[in-house]
Amino acid sequence: MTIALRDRTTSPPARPGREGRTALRSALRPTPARIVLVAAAICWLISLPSLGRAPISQYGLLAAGSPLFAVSIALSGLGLVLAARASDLLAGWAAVAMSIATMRLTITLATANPFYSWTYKHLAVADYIRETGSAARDVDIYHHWNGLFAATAWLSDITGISAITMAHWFTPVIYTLIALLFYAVARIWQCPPMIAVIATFIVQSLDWVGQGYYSPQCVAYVLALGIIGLFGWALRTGRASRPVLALILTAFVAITVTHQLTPYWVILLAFLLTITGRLRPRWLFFVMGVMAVAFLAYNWSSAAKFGLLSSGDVVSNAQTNIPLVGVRGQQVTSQIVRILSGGIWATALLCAIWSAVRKRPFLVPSILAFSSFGILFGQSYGGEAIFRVFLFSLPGCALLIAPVIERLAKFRLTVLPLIAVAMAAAVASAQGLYGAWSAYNMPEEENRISAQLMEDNPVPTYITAVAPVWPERNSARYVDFARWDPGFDATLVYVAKLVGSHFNTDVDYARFMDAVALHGATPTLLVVTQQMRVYDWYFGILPYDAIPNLEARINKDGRWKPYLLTPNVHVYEYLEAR
Amino acid sequence: MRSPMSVLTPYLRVGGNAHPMASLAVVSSVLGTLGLITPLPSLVRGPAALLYAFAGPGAAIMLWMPEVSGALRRTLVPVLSMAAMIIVSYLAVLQGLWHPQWQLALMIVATLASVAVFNVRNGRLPHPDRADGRTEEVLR
Repeated sequence: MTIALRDRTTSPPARPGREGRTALRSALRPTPARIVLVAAAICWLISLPSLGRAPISQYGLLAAGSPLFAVSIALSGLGLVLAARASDLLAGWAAVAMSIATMRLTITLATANPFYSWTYKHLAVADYIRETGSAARDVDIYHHWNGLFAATAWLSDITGISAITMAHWFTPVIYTLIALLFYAVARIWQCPPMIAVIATFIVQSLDWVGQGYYSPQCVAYVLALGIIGLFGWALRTGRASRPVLALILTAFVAITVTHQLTPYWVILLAFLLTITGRLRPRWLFFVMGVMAVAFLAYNWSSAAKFGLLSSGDVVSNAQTNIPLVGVRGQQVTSQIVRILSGGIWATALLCAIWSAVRKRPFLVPSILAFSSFGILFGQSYGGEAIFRVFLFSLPGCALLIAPVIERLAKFRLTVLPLIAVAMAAAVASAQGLYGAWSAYNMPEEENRISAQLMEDNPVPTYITAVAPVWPERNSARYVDFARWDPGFDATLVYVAKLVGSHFNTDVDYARFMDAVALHGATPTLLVVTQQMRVYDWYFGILPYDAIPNLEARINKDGRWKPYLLTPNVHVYEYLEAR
Repeated sequence: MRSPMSVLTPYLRVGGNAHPMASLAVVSSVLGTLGLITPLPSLVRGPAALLYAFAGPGAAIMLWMPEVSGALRRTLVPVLSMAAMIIVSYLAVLQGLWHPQWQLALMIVATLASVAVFNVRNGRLPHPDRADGRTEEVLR
C-alpha cells in the first residue's frame, strides 16, 4: 500500500514522448481483429484495379470482379465482431473505415464519372442555377426543392471545382460524414463507445439501398441525423434549450428546401417523441409542421400532380418502382435484399423486446427504428417509399441491435454464429448495392454525347432514347427543351407501349414508328446504346435481342440516317421530319 | 497608425488559450478568402474554399453553444455549415441575388464577426497594457 502510494505521489512525471510511444505501441499491437482488417485492406487494394474493367454480369460486381473484393467485404464484418469481442475501439473504427472503402469509395475509384444515370438530372439543375443564377420553376419539381442544387452551384462557383467532380466524390465523403455523425448521435443516445462503433458499422455497411449518391435525399438524411443528435441532447437535458431549438430549426429549414419527403419523417419522429413524453417543448413538432406545410403550399404548383397522399393502401405503397421481373441475377439480388431488410427489422424488433424485458431503454430507439413505416400509410413516393423506409429505419435498428452484438461477441458459444451472420450480412448488403453494377454503370462517353446532342441541336428537336437508360437531362440546356415540350426526351418503348417486345415482327416495328410519327415535322434524334441493352435486359424491360433487332430494322429503313456512331452509342436522325 | 488588420487580429486569436471553435472559424475564414480570388487555379482555391464552406459557418455557430459538447459538438460543425450554405444559396436563387463571391465574402465577415463578438463577450480581449496580445483572461 505504501509502495503504491509512493508510486502515485512521488514518482517523477512521465517523460514527454513516453506516453505517445506507449499509445503508438498499443495501437500497433497485432490482435486478431487488426490482422483480419489489414488482410481486408490488402484484399481490397489488390482487387481495386480490376473492378472498373469487370465484365458484364447479371450477378453484379461481386461475381464479375476479383473474388478478393467479396473477401475484403466479408473480412470487414469478421473484423468488427473480433473487435467487439476484444473491446478494441481502434479495430472497430478500422472496420468502419474498411466498410466505407469497400462499399463507398470503390464506386468512385472504379468509375470515371458519377455512377447512376439519374444523378445527371440533379447535376443539370445545379448547372442551370450556376449559369443563370435562378431556378426554372416552370419546368420541374427539382427546381422547387433546389436547396442541394443551389448549394452545389454556389460551391462550384467559389471553389472552381466542377459539379460533376463533386458528384463523383460525393458518396465516400458523405458516408464518412454519416459515420462520424452517427457515432456522435449514438453516444448522445447513451451508447458506450464500443456499442456506438458497432452501431456505426451497421448503419454504414448495411445500407444497401445506395441512396448515398449525389442527391437531395442523402443531404437531407445527413441533416436529419444532426437533428436526431440534437433531439438526443434535448432528451438528455430534459428539454431543448433555446439555442438547441435554434440549431434544430436551422437544420430543419435546410431539409425543407432540399427534399420533399424527409421533413415529414422528422416531424413524425418529433411528434412520436413528444407524445411519449421524451421531447420538450411540445410545440416543436407543430412549428416544424407549419414550416413544411407552408413550403409545400408555396410549391404546390409542381407537387400537385404527385398528390398529397398516393393511397391509404400500405401494401400498395410498399411496392417498389421495379414492377417487371428481371433476369435471374436481378431476382436473386432482390431476394437477398428482401431477406436482409426483413432480417434487420425482425432482429431490431427482437432486440427491442429483449431490452424491454430487461428493463433497458428501448422506446426511443424503437421510435427511431419503426417510425418511418408511417410513410407507407400515405405515400408510395413513386415506388421508392419502401427504400426510404429502410434508409430512415436503419439508424434506429442499429441502436437496438448493436448492444446485443457487443454482448454476443463476448460469449464463446455465440461468437462463431455471430461471425457467420456478420460476414453474410456484409456480403448480402454489398450484393444489394453492387448487384446491378453492369446495368447502372453509366459510361462517361454517354454523358458527353448526351450533352453534345443538346448543345448542337436547336429547340425544337426531339432527342429520344429507344429505352432506358440514358442521361437525357444532364446540362442546363435541358430547360430550353423542356420548356418547349416536357416530353422532348420521352422514352419510346414506354410511349409505344412496347415493353417486353423483341422487335422481331413488323407489327412491333410499325407500332414503334407510329410513336415516332407523333413527333410530326419536328426534327427527331433517336438514341440507341449498348448500356440500354444491358439495363433493359437486367430489369426485364426488353429481351437481350430486342435492341439489335430494332437496330437492324432501323438500318434497313430509309426514313432513318445515322447521325453519330461510336462503338457503344448510335444516334439516328429521322428524315421524314424534314 | 495601426492598420485595420492589426487592430482586429487580437480579437481573432488562434491557438494558445483561444477557443478551439474560434480558431477553426478564423483559420477556415482566412483560407476561405482564397475562394474570392477567381483567377487562382481550382487546385488552390478549391480545397481552401471547401474547408471554409464545411467548417467556417458551423464553427462560428457552435462557438455560441457551450452546452452541446463531445463528439456531437464537433460533428455538428460540417452539418450546420452545410445547412448555412443551403439556406444562403437557396435564398440567393429565390431573391435573384446570385453573387456567390459576394455571399462568400459576407459569410466570412459574419464568421469573423461572430468570433470577435464571442471573444469580447467572454473577456478574451487583448489587454491594453500588453504588447504581446495576451488576454485579460490569462492575466487574471
